[in-house]
Amino acid sequence: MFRKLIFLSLFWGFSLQAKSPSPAPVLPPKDSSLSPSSLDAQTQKKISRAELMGIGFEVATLGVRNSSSNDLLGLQLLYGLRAVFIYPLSPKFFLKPSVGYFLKPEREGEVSVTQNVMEAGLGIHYALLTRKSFLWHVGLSQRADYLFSKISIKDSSANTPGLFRYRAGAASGLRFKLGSRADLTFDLEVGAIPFDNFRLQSAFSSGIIFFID
Amino acid sequence: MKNRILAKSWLAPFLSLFLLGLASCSQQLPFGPVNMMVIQPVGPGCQYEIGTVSLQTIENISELRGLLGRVVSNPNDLESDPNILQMGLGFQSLDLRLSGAQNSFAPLDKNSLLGVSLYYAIEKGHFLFKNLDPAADLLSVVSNMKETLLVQNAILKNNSDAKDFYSDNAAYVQVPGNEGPRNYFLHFPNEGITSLPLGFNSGVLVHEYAHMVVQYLFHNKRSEAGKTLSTSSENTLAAFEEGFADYFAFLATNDPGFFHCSFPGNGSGGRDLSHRKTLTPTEVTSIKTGIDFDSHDGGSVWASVQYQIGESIGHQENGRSLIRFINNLASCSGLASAQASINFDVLRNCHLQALGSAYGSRAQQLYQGAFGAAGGF
Repeated sequence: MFRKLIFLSLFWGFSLQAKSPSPAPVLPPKDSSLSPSSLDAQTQKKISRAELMGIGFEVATLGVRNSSSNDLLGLQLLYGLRAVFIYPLSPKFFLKPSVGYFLKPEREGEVSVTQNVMEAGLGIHYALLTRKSFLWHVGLSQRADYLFSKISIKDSSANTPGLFRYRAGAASGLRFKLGSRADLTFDLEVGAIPFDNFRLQSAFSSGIIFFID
Repeated sequence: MKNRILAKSWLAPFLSLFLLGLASCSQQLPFGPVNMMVIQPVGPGCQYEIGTVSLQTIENISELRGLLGRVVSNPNDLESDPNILQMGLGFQSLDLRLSGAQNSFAPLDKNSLLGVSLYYAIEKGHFLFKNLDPAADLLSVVSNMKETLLVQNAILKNNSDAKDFYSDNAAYVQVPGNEGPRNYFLHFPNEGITSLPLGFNSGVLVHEYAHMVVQYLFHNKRSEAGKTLSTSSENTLAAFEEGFADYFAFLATNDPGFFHCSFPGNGSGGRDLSHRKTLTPTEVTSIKTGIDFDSHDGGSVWASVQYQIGESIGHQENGRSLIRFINNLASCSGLASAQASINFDVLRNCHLQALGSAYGSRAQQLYQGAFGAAGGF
């Protein structure tokens, strides 16, 4: 309700501007803060991009530290997609729940192994730097993963038992304004997997967030 | 106010997830025998399936280490530094990714599947020999068996000048070290094999394990004089050893064409034990002179004879006779005490002794048919 009122007042401000743009005031108003244009500026200032609720879709890569099988910089890379939700808590803090799916197919001759990772995550972020068309946020991220692999040889295949795994770490991201209703996002997180000897795991994702509020 | 309430309700699952993660820290991979999902052979015709086997000699699954050795890797050329093979330095444990719980696991990536496959195959070879004859239980013969290293994707130059490295092959190597001989099973990288890579071919790895059995039950019993043989004798022994190893690889996989699962285009049944073969005059000449000698040629003839003997008297029975044979070969051939000359005739007679009179005549006929025509005796 509070957010709707802000948007209504913002809309009202724009409406006033549209209806009476031409007559210039003879005298400056005594209290400039009461003018429609300054009200507009005030409300815009209050609603930073961190305060907007949104839903987004990202392409992402997971980098799991592995000294024996590394694709890049000692990391084994999995590729996938994430759906994220942005839920503002305050002008500076917002929650970022997400779900994602990643896979890594590997083949050698007739033998193939395809890793599958399904994740559900919840991060809490702080808007460190907010500009008109830019937002830099940092936060804590934690995720629960469900892993399994499909092993195949010729016509025979089987899924491995699943494995639940928890990881937590730090996250940071940049958001660039694409329009009034969308941001381009770049997110990076680095965490550790306690169950797996605190194996390092990173993730990079990029996509678009659409504001729904 | 509503926002605050919402914030609190969202923080609860955030904290719950965090506590769940902390709880998972206490989980540890077990020590001791484990069940493992691997690719295993299920019969002739290169039939393989994915199933769970019991790795009974594993002591530490996270390091893939057990009574029979440890699976490792080394990013360097194994001959670039004498410390690597002679002292066993520079090897790294595999970075395994496993799923599962308690005592049942499965590899999550190809590298881990390859690692557990190597250990599984060596253990398969170990129990094959041990169950046929306790005399071939290397755990009671090799004092430093646990120090055996199974090197995954080993890097080794073809020769000292070459820039290319061995690939699509596997080997058993014994290297003299300061504290006694060190044993290695080398698995070389897969380059051109588009069918079953050697690391997943249990037959190939049991073949290599059989070389280790021959090393300890025969070569180590040869006297110093018995190690100075003619080219012809050494080549005969090398060919026989390849055939011996192929036969036990067949016993482990129940697939006489196990080799062709990885090399399907390698001749028409060249290493298929079920194809009858005879030693050709060209092969006899190469054994005697060493020119264009390939130990696998004579070996495939020897293996095919064993297959036929096994078909006749039972493969288990023939496997047991071959273990008795290899265990007594140094003394039977005279190599335990003095220089001797080895040819297929000597080997045949030693095997016939091990077989016993009940099966001797049939085996003699088969030997004669395969080796006699070209003058192999």
